[in-house]
Amino acid sequence: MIELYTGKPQLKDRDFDELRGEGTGALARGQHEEAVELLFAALRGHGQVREEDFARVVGLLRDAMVELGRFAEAITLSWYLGPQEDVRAMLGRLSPADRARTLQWQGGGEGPRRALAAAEQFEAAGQLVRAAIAFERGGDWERARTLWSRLSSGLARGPRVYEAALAHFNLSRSSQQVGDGRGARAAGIAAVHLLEEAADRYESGGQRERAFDCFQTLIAIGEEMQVYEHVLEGYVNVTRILCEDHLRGHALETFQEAIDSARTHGELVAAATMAHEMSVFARKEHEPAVANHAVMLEAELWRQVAEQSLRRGSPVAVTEHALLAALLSLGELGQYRTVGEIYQRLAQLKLPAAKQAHYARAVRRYEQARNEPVESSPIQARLRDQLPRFWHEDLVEWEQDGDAAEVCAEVLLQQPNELLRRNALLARLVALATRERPEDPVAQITLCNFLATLQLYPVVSVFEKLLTHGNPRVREEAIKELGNFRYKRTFQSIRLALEDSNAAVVQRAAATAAKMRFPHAIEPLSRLYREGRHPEARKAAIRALADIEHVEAAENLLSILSFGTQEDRSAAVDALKASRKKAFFQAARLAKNDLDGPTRQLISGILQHRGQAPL
Amino acid sequence: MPISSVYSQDPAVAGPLGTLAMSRVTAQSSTLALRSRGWQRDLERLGLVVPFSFVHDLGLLFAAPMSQLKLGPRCDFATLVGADPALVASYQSILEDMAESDAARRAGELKMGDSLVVALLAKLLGPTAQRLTLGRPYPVDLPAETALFELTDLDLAALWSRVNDRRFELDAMRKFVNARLALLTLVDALDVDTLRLLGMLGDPAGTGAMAQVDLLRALANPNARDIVSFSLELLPSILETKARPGASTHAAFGYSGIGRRGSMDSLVLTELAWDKEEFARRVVDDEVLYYARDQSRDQTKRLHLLLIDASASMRGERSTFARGLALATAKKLVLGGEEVVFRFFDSRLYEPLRGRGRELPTSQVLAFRGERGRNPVRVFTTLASELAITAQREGRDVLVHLFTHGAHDIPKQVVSSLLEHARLTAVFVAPQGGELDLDYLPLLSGYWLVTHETLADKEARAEAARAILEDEQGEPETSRRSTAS
Repeated sequence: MIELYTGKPQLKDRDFDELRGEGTGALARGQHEEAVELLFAALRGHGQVREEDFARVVGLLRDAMVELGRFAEAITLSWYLGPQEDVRAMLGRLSPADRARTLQWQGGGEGPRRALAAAEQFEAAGQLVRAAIAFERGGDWERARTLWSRLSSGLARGPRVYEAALAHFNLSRSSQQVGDGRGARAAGIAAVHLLEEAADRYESGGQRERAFDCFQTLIAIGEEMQVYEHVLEGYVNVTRILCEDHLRGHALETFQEAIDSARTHGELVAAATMAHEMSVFARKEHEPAVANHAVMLEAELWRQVAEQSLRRGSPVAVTEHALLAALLSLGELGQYRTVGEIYQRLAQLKLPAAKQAHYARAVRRYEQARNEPVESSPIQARLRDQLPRFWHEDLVEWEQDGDAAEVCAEVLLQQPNELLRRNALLARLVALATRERPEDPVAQITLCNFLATLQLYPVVSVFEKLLTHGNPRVREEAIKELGNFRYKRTFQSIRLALEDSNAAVVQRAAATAAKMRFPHAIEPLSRLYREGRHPEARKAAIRALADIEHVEAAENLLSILSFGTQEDRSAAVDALKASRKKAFFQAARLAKNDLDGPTRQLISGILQHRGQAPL
Repeated sequence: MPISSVYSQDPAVAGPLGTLAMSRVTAQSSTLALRSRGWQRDLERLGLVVPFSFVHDLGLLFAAPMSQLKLGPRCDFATLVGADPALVASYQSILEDMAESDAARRAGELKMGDSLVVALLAKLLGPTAQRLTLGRPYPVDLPAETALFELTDLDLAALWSRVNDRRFELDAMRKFVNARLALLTLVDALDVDTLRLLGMLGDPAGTGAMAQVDLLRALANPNARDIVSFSLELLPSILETKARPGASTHAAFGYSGIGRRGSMDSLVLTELAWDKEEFARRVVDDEVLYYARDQSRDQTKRLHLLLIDASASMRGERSTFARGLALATAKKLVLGGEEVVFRFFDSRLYEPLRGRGRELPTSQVLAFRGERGRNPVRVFTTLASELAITAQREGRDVLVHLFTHGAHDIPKQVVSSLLEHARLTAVFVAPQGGELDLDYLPLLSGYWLVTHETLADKEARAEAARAILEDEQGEPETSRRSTAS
């Protein structure tokens, strides 16, 4: 089949309507393979055509596939066309997994019943995770629990600690649903331990993004088990990782979410400290309006702490300290009239006379003070239920085990973006064809090229699997295409490929590293520089850092220029000369007094090359 | 006394010293003023560059009582090049207001060490320093001579004029004056109780940038006030702790004899008569003599390990109660002649924080920040291994006092393995309330649950803490499994 898709590359440059017409003709004449060739070329070369035209060709191609007895391909094309399609005739000819998917896809008004039918099929196909999820959707929590229990015992015995944790969490949820409180608690505790261990391992191993997933799940467990300590642990660490990765927007939204959660649970002190951290981060990331909003929020929260403590009859010192914390925040923003009001409040508390007198004196100082106008911009918290359900998605990924056809099927069925659905459709067709030729490097390379059009996170796992292919050309292509996937996770593959026995793969991995130019790549790039055995990898990391507009990247480069080897310094100089980013020069000017003579000379040379004044 | 020409021609001396022409605080004793030299140096290590006169004036206000200071002009600033008399008058007005603050009025009682003064100055002057745009045109290298602080007004005027470009100082003065309300807000809100606690509990952080960083973080921690306040609530009862009689090495009460163990402050002075090499050999061979204190006989080398949860789960009131109680527990134990070590943990077990004599690492306890995940299996397994080594090498009796939250679940087998080498008690702080449901509780020598009701009510809180303190110090056989709420 793969030859039909790619055997005549010149076809895809032909006119869409011509290809469609010829394809229709070939289909009518019973020349089904030729029809596939022409119609696939029409779809591949014309991804931007109107949907009705594209769908028409998809339908024709589906008919050709049916005639050829290629039912996996046919159902894929039907999935694209939509659930109104009558696929009953095909159901019996599909694999259990595809049958299950089709039943789910066709759910409609009979959702739970279809979900249960799909669950049976997934279980028959040995896909226990998807079966369990489908049983949940169908409302059969008992069967879901049985499957989660099997999965969690199996995973607990192996090295997949994170997946084991997720399975235990799902076991806990399903146990709760069937009224087994003790079982739910035991599974929840096991899940917490495993998540803690997984997060620790991931962070130590430089996979902060996976640790992030662990902490996100911990929030969910905490809410499920109603143990707020777990929620706090999750939120604080999630925001910490987002801040460390300079994911500014996401971090600020999560801070707001964490603060709202703490407030809802009456944890006002925790909320206030998080508001403080939010303001510090926002200021560091040059978001002064958001920082100001966070400072005002902090002040408001401390005032609420004060009122709460008064209501509870807490020691008056608690009230006093909360009010002092509020006024310090307000003082930062020049809100001196309000500061005066707070001192007035302080002076009224039942404090020792000396303190009362001190606060009364302070009140007088602010009598004529005013509140400075402040630009303040609130942040909308991300809704927790809009986030991915890691405890399902990551287990599905584990179960898919990097199978391209499986991953593309999920994308096709769930992705709302039209272009991505079209690319997923074509990629799945190719993936189904390459399943028949697993050792053929040309087929696998073709698959890489089609997968590269789907720049989505789930596809990374497929490339990770392709990186283990026996043929170095396949590995080289895989690591090359991974350069289009700008995720921190991509660095795992880069590090692996840098240790490849084939020099071309290593070189390609270095080139891919050089393309990773985004703020949350700073940490893995720094690690690559520090730990990379290959000079090419170090140079690539330096090149990428030079093209990231962020002060932390700039500081890394300053450090290389000051303390790196001769070779590394030359690489940094070349990279900075070629870069258009300004962050480095701003950092260099600020730090110039701390730089030694040779480093200052190097930097001045770069500045002059860029037409700027030397240091 | 006129300044020597060697110094007056050195910009590294004339530069900073000349800024005292702007100064409005004069110390009665030049020895007191000399401390400002160290403050300036330490502030620069922290990255804060401000005119020396600011450091001198503000530092003295908080380091010494007003009876040892005089507020007012030191020279006729109006006659100096670039001077703006109105500006300096405003500056003096701010200093006068600062002198009225609680912290300044109680300076004599607080007796702050240099590290603490530097931390305070960093807190107060930090915002001003950040707004300075002009660089200082001279380095600073003041010699340690008191005579430099006995200058006449003519000397100061001459030194001011030695540096042609004083825009840095004048710009800083303008920014300082413009930030009047901000500065006074900071000063008025200074946490005198924390300063007092650091004085009462002592702080062996010593000197140097790290000590100041810890102090700065302690002062910046909004929870520190509550921790301090809680510790201070408990301290009166702790300080009533009677020392047990008997010669020991711990610093309390009078001397009872001479021994071979002790701290440097109880060194027999004739030991210093040995030459350097011989003294070093005597230290290594444990032959140095110390005065032994009249206190409890050395116990069988018992060690109390205060293990404090620093994970993110401890945010809010949990941390306040846990750290406050841990400090109070430590003080009580130390006064009772026990040896105490603090250790924090989150997903890692951190290095021990030790006191020195009766001093506790207070600023480090207040400032410590973990919050990098949790991993109780790893932490307690590591601890068990370390305790096993300690037991084998030193034969010590170790009591571990755990301060954590009510949902801290540790696998039972991990706790059992720890208990092979130590006894374990625990204080669980649970502001959200609820029952403890942890399967390792029966293994503990004692445990207490502190809930929101206890935390909210002052009397209940103090009563709970006192009950815990009494039991924490008692022999494990007398400890009980109980709740403090």
